[in-house]
Amino acid sequence: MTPEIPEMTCAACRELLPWQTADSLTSAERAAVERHLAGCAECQHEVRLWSDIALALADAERTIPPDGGADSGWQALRNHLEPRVPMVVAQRRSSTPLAETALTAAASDAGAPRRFSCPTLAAPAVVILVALIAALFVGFGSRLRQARTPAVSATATPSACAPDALRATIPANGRLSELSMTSARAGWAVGAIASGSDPSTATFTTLMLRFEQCQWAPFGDSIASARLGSISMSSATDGWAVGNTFADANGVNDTLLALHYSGGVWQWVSVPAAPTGVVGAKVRMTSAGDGWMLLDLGGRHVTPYQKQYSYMLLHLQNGVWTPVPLTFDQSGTSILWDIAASSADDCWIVGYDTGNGDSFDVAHYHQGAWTSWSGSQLGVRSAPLYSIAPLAPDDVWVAGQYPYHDASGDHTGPLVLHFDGEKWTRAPLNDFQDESNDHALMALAVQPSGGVWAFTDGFSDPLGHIYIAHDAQEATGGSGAWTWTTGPDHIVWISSVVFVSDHEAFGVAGAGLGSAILHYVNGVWSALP
Amino acid sequence: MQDERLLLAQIATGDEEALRQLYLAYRPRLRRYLWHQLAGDNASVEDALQEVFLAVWRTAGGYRGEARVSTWLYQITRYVALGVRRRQARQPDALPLDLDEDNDRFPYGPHDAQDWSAANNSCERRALDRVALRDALARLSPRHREALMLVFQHGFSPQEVAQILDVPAGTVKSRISYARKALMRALDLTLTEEARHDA
Repeated sequence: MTPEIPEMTCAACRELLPWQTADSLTSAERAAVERHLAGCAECQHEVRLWSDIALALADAERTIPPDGGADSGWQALRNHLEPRVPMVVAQRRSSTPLAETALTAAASDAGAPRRFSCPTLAAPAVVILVALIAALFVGFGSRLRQARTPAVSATATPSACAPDALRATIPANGRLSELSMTSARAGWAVGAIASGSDPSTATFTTLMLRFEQCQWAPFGDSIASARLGSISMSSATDGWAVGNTFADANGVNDTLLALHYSGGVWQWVSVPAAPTGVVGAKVRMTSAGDGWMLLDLGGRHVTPYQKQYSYMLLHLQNGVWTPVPLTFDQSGTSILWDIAASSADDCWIVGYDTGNGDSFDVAHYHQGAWTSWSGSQLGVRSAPLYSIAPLAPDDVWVAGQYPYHDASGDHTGPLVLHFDGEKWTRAPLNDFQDESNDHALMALAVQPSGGVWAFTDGFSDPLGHIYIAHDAQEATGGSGAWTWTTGPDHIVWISSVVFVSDHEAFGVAGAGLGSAILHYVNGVWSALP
Repeated sequence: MQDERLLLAQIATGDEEALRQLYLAYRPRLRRYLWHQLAGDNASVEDALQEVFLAVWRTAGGYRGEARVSTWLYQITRYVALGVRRRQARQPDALPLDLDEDNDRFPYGPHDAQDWSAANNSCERRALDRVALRDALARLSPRHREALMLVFQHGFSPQEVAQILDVPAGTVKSRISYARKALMRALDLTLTEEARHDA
């Protein structure tokens, strides 16, 4: 006997109409909807609307070029498959949760480095502040604990420029990567300008903005077929900006682009130690004579499941950039995402291992040797880390994401860890109510007095929001009082933030089709007009 | 094509031919999905497709049969696309992101009171609206368009879309509802502009 179908309300009917239109309801649902529609003219109008939307979506599908790459795509895929011993694989797999492995694959291998998508040296942030802080310190020796001394007075006027006087002029299709502040009134930002909105066909020229007289504005001539990705000023009169030139489609012959600011002039300088094949670079200066530069040399598949990533670390001493072996990364399967330098003898690198997921998360170079920690040693296995802020050897912050599983499936959530010189402790990110959307903390920023800020991106959020976490008590020596706020409207990621005082910060961010200069003052984050 | 679950079981034993069959069967629709997710960057789409099926090759043995094979594949594909976008956004040559249009918090705008049927009172009007609707769709935020595409172009149920997007089913329905309202707002704006132009 067919059970009686209860009468539907208009609200219940309209909720199902998209699936009615797409013909993907169960037979019982479809019957109930059709019964309601038969007597409801208003819902019939809704059906017409959804039918038109479906047709318009089909129109949009027709704009996709025909697929002529199935055969070549399969051949390329097949070339990356290697024969296996089925039983061994099956046994291993049977004990491996699917979503965990799939997620790890996505987190580790997706976005394979190509010419226009440098995978690893992406966005980080704030370590520039650490460089600035350390730079202040050079004259006093390198006692790191003192690095908490603010680069700019913590008691500075809340805003060096009147907030309504601040302006940013960013060229069309300009994308900013990092900024470096030399004072509350002066700084630089770097990036690239694309020739069009389609990155697969665009060409790029370098972009540099200068902040002076309360205005961010383009500075100097652009360099063709090149981009800048990182900048670190050791002082108002000295700094480096680095990136790469584009030589060919696969990046094999791309070269390091290194600009040195000295004597009031940016000069393109040669770094003999840098090989060809540089697809990205980051620089962190601790003084005019000391700095660290991480070169991304790209990645390639070595097995169906793994890529081999190549990096080179250079250390500027006595006027010469010299390679420092990355001995902690023996397997070559690690992605090195962020670098920070707090002195001539302290360099930190964070990232994650794409191999077994547990050989590397943090590495610290000190007195000529590396100390590294795996995810397990940090207490968060398979946790990608994206940003690091070492304030002192016994006060180091890192941020990233951690995987977890609950009744609704596999997820990732925001992660902050603190190192006290002996052990790593996970910061309690209180009251974050939206862990179901795979958030990741992509950038860190530190106030001169020690308050810590961390920033998600908006890719996983249903509303496209970024979220900002702040350890309010850290500034007064406490910990654990993390609070969350929503980022400014239309900002979808933040790649670099520098506090110029406890009350004011600047950052670079992604906003819609381009970039924005982010400004924090009086407790409010906003994008400069 | 053989039963998809059987194909996965064969892939788990290292059967390349089974992987090829699954690849050829799903490549067209996953390519369309990725095309919209990666803003039509063909190279990124091809890279992502390869990553998806390498993940399938690696994890087929872990398929637990709790979801349709297609839902499982789209879950992996979404994660891959998310990873690509996350990384690319941090490069100065990143894919453009039109999240500015994502206005979920204000779905009940002043135009919401207008009834769609009022604009549909003639065949000519509807033809014009189809064009305007297509333009409005192009301006819709990626996550709204993604939800609509999964429903209309890929044929997933509310529960399946929820699994793919890793959100509750109620959230899926909310997104669809928001998408409708956003389309109505954009459509109303477009029609207003056309009327002003005609005048």
